[in-house]
Amino acid sequence: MRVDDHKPRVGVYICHCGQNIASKVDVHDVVEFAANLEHVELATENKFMCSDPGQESIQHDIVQGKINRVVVASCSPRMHEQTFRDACDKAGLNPYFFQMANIREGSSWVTEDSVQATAKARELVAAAVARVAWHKPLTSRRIGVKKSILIIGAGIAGIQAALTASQAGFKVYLVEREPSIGGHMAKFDKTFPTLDCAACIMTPKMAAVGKDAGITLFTLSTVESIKGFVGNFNVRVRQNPRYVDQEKCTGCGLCAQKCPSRKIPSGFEEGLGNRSAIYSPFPQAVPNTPVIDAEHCRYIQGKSKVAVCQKLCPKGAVDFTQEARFVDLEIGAIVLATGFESFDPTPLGQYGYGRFPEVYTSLQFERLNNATGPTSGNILTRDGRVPERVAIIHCVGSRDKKHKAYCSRVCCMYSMKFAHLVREKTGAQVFEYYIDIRSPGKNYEEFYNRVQEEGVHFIRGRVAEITDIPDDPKDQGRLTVIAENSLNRQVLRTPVDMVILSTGLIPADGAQQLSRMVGVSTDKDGWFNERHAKLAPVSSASSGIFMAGCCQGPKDIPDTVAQASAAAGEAMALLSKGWVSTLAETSRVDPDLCSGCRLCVQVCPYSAIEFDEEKRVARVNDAICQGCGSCSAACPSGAARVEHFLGQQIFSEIRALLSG
Amino acid sequence: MGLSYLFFPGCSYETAAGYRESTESVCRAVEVELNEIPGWNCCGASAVFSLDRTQGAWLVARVGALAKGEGSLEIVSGCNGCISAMKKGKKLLQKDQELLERVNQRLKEENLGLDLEDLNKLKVRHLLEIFVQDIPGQSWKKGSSEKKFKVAPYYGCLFSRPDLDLDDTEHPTLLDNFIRLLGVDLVEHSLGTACCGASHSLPHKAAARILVERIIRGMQVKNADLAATICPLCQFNLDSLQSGLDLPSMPILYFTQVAGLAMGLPVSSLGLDKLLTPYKDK
Repeated sequence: MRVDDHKPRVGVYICHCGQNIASKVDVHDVVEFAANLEHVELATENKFMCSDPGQESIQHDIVQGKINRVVVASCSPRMHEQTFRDACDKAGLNPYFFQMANIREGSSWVTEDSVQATAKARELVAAAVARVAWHKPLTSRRIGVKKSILIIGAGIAGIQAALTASQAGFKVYLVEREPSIGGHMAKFDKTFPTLDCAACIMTPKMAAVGKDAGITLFTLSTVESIKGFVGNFNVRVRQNPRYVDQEKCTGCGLCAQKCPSRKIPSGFEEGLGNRSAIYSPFPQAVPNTPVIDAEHCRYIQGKSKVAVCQKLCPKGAVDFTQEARFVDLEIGAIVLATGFESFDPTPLGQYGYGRFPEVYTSLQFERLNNATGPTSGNILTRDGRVPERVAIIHCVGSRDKKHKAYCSRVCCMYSMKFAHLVREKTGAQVFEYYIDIRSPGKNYEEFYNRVQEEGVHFIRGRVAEITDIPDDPKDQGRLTVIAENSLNRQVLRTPVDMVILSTGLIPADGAQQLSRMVGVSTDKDGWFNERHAKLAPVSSASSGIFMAGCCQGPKDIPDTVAQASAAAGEAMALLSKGWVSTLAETSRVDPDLCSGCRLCVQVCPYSAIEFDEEKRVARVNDAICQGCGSCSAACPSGAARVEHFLGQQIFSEIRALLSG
Repeated sequence: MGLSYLFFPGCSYETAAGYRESTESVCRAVEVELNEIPGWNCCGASAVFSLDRTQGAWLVARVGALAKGEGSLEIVSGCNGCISAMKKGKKLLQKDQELLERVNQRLKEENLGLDLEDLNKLKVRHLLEIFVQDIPGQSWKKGSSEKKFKVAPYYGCLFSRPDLDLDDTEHPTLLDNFIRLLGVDLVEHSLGTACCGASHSLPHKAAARILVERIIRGMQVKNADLAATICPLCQFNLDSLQSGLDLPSMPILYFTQVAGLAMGLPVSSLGLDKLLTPYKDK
């Protein structure tokens, strides 16, 4: 039964929050104060308003017909606004006839003096009462959803999310810009702390993706555009030509063997090995169809009249007529899994990367150590020697305010993995230069202990310089690592044969562009922002867009896989019931006031505003609008207004605050 | 028409081994006019600043004020130490209004003055910057000589540090670029910014000699015939401390002398006879 909501009759409920509020704010005083405010019908208090008895007391007063507006003065609306809206709704009151006054984060937690805290609580309550009197009933609509999930990026995160969602019966579209899925993990040989073989645990999953009928895989592909809204995204995927017919190719590899254009530095090998113009990036690639690199293909570039691969292919699979094609998809939810790339250490001139051939990045070392890599897994210098002394330098680019202030989280562990592998394969002396060892994972600290016991030298100090000038002429040809051991305040000058820079992680190239396309914000370093650091770690602020793996921040494989499963789970939870409700606090453009200037169309970060060419006015799609208010702020004629944030509501609130 | 600059010679320019002679010859050849700031004083070096901040700041401000009187706030110098001291003085004065006022009171005695706006405009540049950045590249190709030598660039510590505005801090490249412009062989090595011993070369000769040995040896390992320097103190240390080292001798030239040789200017005009480690035509 709906109560009469013409004349506001406000119920004010002040929460003690145990001692959180009551220890600073004089709750009785605020209750008395509230009871005498205009529109207030009743004012009361409770130890925990969010508890069942607390909520029931509100519902009781609504059902009894005593009140038609509710103010709860307690914690942040981010905490319990939804709780109390639901409580109102269940009692038959429109949930938007509710307003929250934050007297915990806004007063008791941040005010030393009890008298001041009470005074501020009074003002916040008065403002909420003044505002709620002007509230309007709002409703949201239900919209059906497409039960399909788009996953962008097919590293271990994208693969895991794809397999999880497909297993549950959802249609999955997996988009990868490289010729093969697998991402960075496919480049690794061993993984910490168990040292199990990356290929052994990775390739079955990659193969499963290739075989899964529920997963449509787009390699060499990028997302061109995303339109629409949660549950109903329209996605256009651009698939670049492979020039090899996947149906006909058997993956025999003859084409790559005979290709005349051979000396192309391989991206998969991090520049340590070469590939041909027609190539498969690595033996376990999925799909296992070679790709032609148009830039280096002599036939495509017109430098050769004959395409050797086409002539030799026993199946006639080479097809130069292929062109980029566009595929339009209807998508319910999107999982971003674009991963990371390695920090380029060139700007750290003191480490000589690029000048000294024996200075490697960590990804280069992964390939150097990989059984399918350029040295077949033998750890060798560029001139083919087994190194006798190897330095590993932690935190290159990370924990460095000149570059990236954050810790990249995985480098300590993979550095120690490297140390173990170098010891095991070459017997070389290994020197690890670290700031702090960070090994907070299951069995990680144990791995640290194990590597110490294997005789690796741990030196606590940031390396100042790597130089090819030896102190002792007999070390000519070696590199000297100069650092202060900060534990004994000794400057060490250590000659070594090889240096590995444990470079930090940065967001993948293109992540920034994608973030704008999907309306997900990034932090100052470019990582995607999750909706809540603790309670919504795989959701974004845009509904229907989820994230997994390193695109949200550096993390290791166990965390990535856990997050990928979680992101798939969240996406499925959203789509399972078949509908979503639209936001009620959306923007509206009053067509009578709109001058058609289109400022709002430009500023809308969600592309929710369209321009009606016929009527020459802007129109908001309330299914996409997130109620951010950008349009309202930009609109010169006051035509764009956000429901629930109307002028009267805001100004009444401010007036009450200022008159306190 | 050539370019013209206000020039701050610093204390060592005149007495350094052929720096003035070679600078004048080369500047004439590429039509650069260097006009000495009349009445210039000591830059303060490192000593004055560590003893008396106000005095150091005043020395720099006075040079700036004199330059202003000449109608330009762009000053060119050939000494890393001078440039560093002036940049330091400028920074101090920019940050400290009260210091600037005190310094100006003293400047007023000579009817000079330098306000914050002037300071912000004050620019101190190395002669090398002028050569590479302002002079068209082809000017260096004019009378190219037949001489073949391999040159190792040496920047010293203060060219790219502590100010980070000019070149890569750890591995500057401006002198490398200049040597390439001259068309002579560049020897890339890792000791371009290694310490030459600085003012320790007098009181702690043995300690400085260890550093110089490292630098000379490093250049020789890379088969350099000679080194090009851009700072009088570096040049003096590398040149003078070589005696007594168990190494083949290595001529340490100014970059202006290298330019003169590469351009085929008369050898007698480059002051090469003043070098302690003699340069001989091959």
